[in-house]
Amino acid sequence: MTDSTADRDPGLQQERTVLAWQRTGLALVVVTLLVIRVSTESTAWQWIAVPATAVPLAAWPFISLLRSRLIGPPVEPGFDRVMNDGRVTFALSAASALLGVVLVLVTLC
Amino acid sequence: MRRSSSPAEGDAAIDRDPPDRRWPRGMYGRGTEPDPRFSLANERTFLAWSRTALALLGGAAAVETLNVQLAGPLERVVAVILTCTGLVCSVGAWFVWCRTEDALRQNRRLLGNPLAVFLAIGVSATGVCVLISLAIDVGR
Repeated sequence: MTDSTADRDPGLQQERTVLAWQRTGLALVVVTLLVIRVSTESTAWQWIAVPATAVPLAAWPFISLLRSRLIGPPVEPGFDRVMNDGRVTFALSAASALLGVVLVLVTLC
Repeated sequence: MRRSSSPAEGDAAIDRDPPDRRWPRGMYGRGTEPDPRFSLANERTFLAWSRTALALLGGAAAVETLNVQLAGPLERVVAVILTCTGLVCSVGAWFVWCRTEDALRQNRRLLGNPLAVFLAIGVSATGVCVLISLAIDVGR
């Protein structure tokens, strides 16, 4: 009989990473709601700013799903690679950048 | 990921690994798979930078919403500085993630993070603006 705990990652890297994704998701949702609030007060760019800020909000479930599909369950003993993928990280960066662009437009106009 | 139904089939299953469709191909197409712990640590660093970017964007939105009453045009200047710093951090975080993952795959030395400089400049500039605003208020 083999000891399964011997192969287990003692640093719980996968769990810590999943929690970091959850924290980031919460931050994205809160900041998006704040930007929507700012956008609704802007008259010049309201027609484009409000729909644009809804994109990161809608993108979050998609990003979570994409990551869980690509990365899968926690690393099992004997698995020597993590299925990380640049698309997941790129989607998060793009969502944050979109919020920044909307804020610049709303602030300057 | 590698799976096999019995030890005897293990080597054959490794040979039949599914094609690697990960993106960007330029990065995943070269080097060897790094230790998963390092890849996950790189991902968490990317997430920490993303949260920093979101905090800066949230700060800019708060300055716009909460009417913090900075002197003259400084309110708008602070909002723009925070937003631009957040924008640089969010976009730069992805490039730094790619660069680090690439270095891990090719067993190269990790480079420094240029985002820290942008962040330091942005936050310092914001602080200077707030100080100027306070000085103007005191002088009145």
